[in-house]
Amino acid sequence: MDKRQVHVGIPIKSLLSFFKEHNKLVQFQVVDSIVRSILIGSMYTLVAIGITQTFAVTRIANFSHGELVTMGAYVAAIVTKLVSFPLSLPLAIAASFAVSAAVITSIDEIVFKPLTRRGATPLMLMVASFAVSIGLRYSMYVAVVSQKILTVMSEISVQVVYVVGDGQITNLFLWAVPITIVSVILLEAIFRLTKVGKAMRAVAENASLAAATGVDVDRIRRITWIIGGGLAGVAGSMWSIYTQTNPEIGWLILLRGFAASTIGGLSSFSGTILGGYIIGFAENFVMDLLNRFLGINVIYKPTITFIIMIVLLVFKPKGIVLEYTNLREGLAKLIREIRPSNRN
Amino acid sequence: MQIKVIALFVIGLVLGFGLGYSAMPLLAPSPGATTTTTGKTEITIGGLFCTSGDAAAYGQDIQASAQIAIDDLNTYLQSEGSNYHFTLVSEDTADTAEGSLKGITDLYQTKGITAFVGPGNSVEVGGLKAFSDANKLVVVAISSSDEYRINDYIFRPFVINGLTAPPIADLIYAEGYRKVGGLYRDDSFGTDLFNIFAQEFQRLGGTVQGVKYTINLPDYASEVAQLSSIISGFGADDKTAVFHVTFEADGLNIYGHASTDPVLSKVKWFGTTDSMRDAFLPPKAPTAIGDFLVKVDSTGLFPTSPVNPTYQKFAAEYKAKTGNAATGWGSNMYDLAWILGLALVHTGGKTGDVLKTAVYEVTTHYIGSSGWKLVDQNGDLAVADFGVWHVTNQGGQYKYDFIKYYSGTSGQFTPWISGKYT
Repeated sequence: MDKRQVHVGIPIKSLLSFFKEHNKLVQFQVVDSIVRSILIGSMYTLVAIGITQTFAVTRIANFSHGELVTMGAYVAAIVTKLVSFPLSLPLAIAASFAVSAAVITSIDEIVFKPLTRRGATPLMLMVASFAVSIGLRYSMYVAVVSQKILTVMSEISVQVVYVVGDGQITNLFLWAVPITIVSVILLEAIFRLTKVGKAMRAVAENASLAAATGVDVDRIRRITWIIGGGLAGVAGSMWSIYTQTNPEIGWLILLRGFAASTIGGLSSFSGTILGGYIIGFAENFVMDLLNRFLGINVIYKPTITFIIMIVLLVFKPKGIVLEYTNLREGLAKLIREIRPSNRN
Repeated sequence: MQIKVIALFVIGLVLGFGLGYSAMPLLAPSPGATTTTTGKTEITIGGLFCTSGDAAAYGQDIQASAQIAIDDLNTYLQSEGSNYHFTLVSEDTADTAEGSLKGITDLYQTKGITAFVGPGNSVEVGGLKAFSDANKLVVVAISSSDEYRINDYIFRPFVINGLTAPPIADLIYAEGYRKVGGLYRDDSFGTDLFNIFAQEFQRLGGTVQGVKYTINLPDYASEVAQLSSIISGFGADDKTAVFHVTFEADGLNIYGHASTDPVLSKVKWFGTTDSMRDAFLPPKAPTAIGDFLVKVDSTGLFPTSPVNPTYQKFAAEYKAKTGNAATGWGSNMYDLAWILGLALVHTGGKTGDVLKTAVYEVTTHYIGSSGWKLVDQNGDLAVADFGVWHVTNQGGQYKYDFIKYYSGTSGQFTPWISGKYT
């Protein structure tokens, strides 16, 4: 048994024997907790990858991203009321993508691009995004109240499809998890393997230099906002199935989206997905463990989530960036970096 | 040199104070938003509603209800040949103390309004209380927790927690349940209501274990999992029930998770006035949630009898105006706006202490959409009757059916006889 196995093996064995001795596993539904963590982690990741995408290229920490999620949720919920299932699902996703992408692209043209041209700093742009966020949210209030749809639920409801042990796989799980993973892989591929992706990286590094070398910076910005905003819309379409849509929903999710993106270094899609799942597991699996075995009330859920985030950032201030095409190698390097024995 | 500076500073202060004091009558708002032109007296009432934020659905609900009341009051006054006419001017409190204070300050200082309806919770009432006290502004609030039970200018002729929680505990115990798993909001309303409930249920001999949850979260899956764990620990048998204090968005999320939980689907669920909302039933809610609420025989209390003719009139108007079914909150707000309006007519538009006395007088005699609005010396509702509802599905139509009636004066439940309380 080498040193690494000792580090990992003993705590798990000790925990398992502790659980068995205290007969706590009866009330702790392990599979259910893991399934919930994966689902909510995916939902957070879907929100976060759009934040990462736009920040990585434009350097704008876009706080109006939450409102794009809300818009996506409203559009999706309305589509499901107009079209019947199963056609409603792809249509809702497509419509949410289109509307959120159109809105944020217009906002870039009206607000962010002119500000950037006038030499606004990232801080100014962030503050501008706050203003956009509030403007969009209260415009939505006016719109949805006038249409008598302040709160709305999707016609597609969450249904249990499979039961695995004590866990339940729902239809939403089967949609949200693959959509998240495929989105991350596609974004990673676009960023690394395509001409547009290379141009995006060039703009991210230095927009003026990229322009000087023939990159159409405006076009790249538009593509970036379309993808980032569209993904916010897709996230909204999934959230509209998961919970009630109201003008605040995107704002409530945004903080966790930013947390996931920050854990991922605000520039890495694979890091963002890891961040999303860390938040998802912190809010569910870790919270369940702490609650069942240490009696910590779920009221501390938000605190625990952000403590985990802060601790991770203390060890990895630039976030967890998986820079390797080989995920296994990347994870192994990450573990080596985090381990105290290897930080000397 | 230093002494000169200090002396100048003191002189400046004294001069400034003097100038400010003498300018006060010019800067202060008009004595009330009451104007008389061509024999008609126009009175403006301020509305403080959380039309944005977490509880926006409730704010929109009570704002619409208050407006219906003002319209009905004007129609009534006109039919009686009265010269009084009311207008409602509202501000959004955003469900915060700051928003509430800003709302009342703006309406008082810019429009001279001195009589208000609206704030829906303790945070909002807490925010405006000092300002209301200092300026003798009468506020007829729809709700706030018991911490504000002191003699001031704030009235709460709404089913306060102290009146709601004991009958719920009595109902659950009377139905044979002895172990209750609770799930409730971590705000002053939720905590206060649940604590009073738990105290009463334990006094009766039952066991209660609660899960308090942070509000304004996008998801409550782990909270529902903890509730499920408590119910499992209780044995999830016919002596076990759930009592929950939730609002609309959190409630729907919680029902969604509970509907796929085999343990929580086995036991009966009890709720509050807030659990009786159109938004929880199909077609507004997913069928899975409607089926869940039928399966767990979701049951709760609604202030007064909904077959009261005033309620029926209000409910019809509310449906026409908003497209939604009337709620307990809306029904109460309708009465509160009427009470304030009638009191203002009684005082001839005078506010402050005179209006305060008049509100006491009107509430003593007022039986409206939500029943008798008698208040105690603190301005809090003194007695409340309830209808006991449960969710049914009749031929694919989900609805709230009334099964029992609770009399606040006798403290007894009696079977519901349809049409009896008209």
